[in-house]
Amino acid sequence: MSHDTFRTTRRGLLKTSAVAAAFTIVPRHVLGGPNQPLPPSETIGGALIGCGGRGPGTFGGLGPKEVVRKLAECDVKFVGKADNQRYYTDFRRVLERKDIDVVAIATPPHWHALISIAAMEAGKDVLCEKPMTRFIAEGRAVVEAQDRYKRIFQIGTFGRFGMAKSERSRENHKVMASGLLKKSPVVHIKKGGLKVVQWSGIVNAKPQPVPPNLDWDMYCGPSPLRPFHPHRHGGTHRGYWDYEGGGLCDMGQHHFDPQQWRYAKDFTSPVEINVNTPPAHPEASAVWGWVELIYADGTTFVMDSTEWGKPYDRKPAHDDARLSDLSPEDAAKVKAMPDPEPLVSFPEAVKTRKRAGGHAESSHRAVCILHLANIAIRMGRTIRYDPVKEQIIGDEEANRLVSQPMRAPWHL
Amino acid sequence: MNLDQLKAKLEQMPTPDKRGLYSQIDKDKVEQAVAEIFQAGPEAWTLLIDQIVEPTVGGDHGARYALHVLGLHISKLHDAEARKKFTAALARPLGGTKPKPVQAYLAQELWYFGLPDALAVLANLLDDAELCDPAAFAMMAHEGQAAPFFRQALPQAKGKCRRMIVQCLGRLRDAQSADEIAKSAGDEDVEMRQVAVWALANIGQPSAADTVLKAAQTPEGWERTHAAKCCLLLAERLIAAGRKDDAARLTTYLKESRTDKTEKYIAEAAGRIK
Repeated sequence: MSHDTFRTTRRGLLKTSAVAAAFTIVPRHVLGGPNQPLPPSETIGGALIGCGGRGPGTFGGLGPKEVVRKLAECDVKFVGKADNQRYYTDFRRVLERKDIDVVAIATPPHWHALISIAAMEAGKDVLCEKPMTRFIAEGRAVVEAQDRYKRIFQIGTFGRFGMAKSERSRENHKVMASGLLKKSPVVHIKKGGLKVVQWSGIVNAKPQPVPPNLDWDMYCGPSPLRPFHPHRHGGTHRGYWDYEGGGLCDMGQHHFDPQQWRYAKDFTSPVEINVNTPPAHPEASAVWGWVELIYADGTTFVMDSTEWGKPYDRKPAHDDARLSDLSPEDAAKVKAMPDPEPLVSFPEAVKTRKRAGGHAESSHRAVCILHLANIAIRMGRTIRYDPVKEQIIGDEEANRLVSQPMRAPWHL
Repeated sequence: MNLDQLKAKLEQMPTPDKRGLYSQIDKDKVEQAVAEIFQAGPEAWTLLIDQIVEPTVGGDHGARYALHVLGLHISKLHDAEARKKFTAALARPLGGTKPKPVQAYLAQELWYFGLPDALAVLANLLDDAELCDPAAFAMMAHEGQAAPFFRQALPQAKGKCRRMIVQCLGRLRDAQSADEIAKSAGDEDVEMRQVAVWALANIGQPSAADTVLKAAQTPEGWERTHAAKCCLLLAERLIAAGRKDDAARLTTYLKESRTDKTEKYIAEAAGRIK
């Protein structure tokens, strides 16, 4: 895996200024003595879009606060508070600002792709909370925007950075990336921890008045305009297909993104998805049993919810792909391969214009694991997927969930 | 199947827990009950649809769920005739006297499971501000056949309905709609203008260049950024169609007009389109 080097634009100053060191070594105000802030010329402007629970943490990922000045906060619940100078309800007004260089997105996921794309169109670099998208086609559009504008995109989950530091994981990665295994022995099982019931949706909600501080139409955005219910807003939005994909989508990218790196699957997707589930609800996520996702080389990822039905028992777990699985000749070839390049953090990527470690393509492929699992759950049947065309094979109804319509004016 | 028998089947649907969640679902019970509703035929399906009420009334979660599971059941059968009948059952009440939230729910189920047979009925809802979105969603499930229906509805459409129709025609890349869409590119509503310019760019005809370039002359703000994206998109479409000279007109404009350091990335993006 190689890093794309993006062309430096307005952030070229970071390459040569003292602030470059501040990103990776120690903030200058520490070196210069207490309470000595960096001058504005050595900082970059940041904005937080989506100021709920994950907002502050996501913003913190943009870089040290001495370097990234928070200039704007945007949330649809700021009606009455918004002054279009510091506080906003419409992210487009934030993106118009030329003093903002980096954007942290911590809205519910039905906004992630659209705001990420819009931010990159406006020349900003993006750190976006997980899950990256609400459906598969959104992810491809984010990748295209990243590549078109050569902006930095990093997903807000960082487990792969730790994974890539492990010697054993790097060996796994190289063995899998080599393509020399006849058949992958890997069966990675995630048992529990996907908060299935916790992040389910209410199926008998009665409409309630929209709170005066909330722009509900803007909240719904590209998704259907439903009657307001407080469970659809705030952290419990996770339980509705309109906004996310249940606990599976909420927790899954944390778990499977590192595994995807470990087993060198950043540029492909599973080809067969099997499922054990009761019939899904059309609007609210609910219980399911297990999902088995199989890649073309046989690598198998399993989500076993442990919250419904019998446990997964098709294959035993086998979390390894070692040099010893190869012939001596092939093992020698893998040993001769260079180690995968170190993953680049978001601040470092902004500085160097190298692709971030959790870039748009890898993040898209990781969230596709979850979307494919959810499509199988929602259709209640095995699906087969073409990772190149990014289409489900031979199942027209399931494909409707791959690329979903949006309310105007929101479009990919 | 009479109403009492249907209600007995609906008793087999899950009971929401105290929070209102389906945290326990008896798959066998649900699937057996729905299989029996299916076997009872379209009259029973219509009876089931009649149990769905406005959300403000409530108490119909079982009927809503059963209708969706019936759609899933039929979609697994690969029975074209059954699917056609199910589509007809969902479409029949549209445009009628049922409350609009109920019609929106039926349109949603048509998005999940419907056949193109429902396109004409759905298109009749495109002038209804409450129903144009769910109707358009359901129509977009049939990308290969929906364009003529959207095209026919466009000239009369106003406001949010027109925005939605223009957006759908843009996504469908319907060249026959381009002239009508272009009328909205100078609309007083900024979102209408942006949707129209994007739709023209995505359709990708050389004749859209003047409109898109005019939009790109917007001096500042999000509309300027959005128009630049449309220039790039149209240029890419024209390159793909072998119209390099037409594309070059757009990319040259961006390279010459986005010279400020805050917009240089756009000029660079234009430079990469070849």
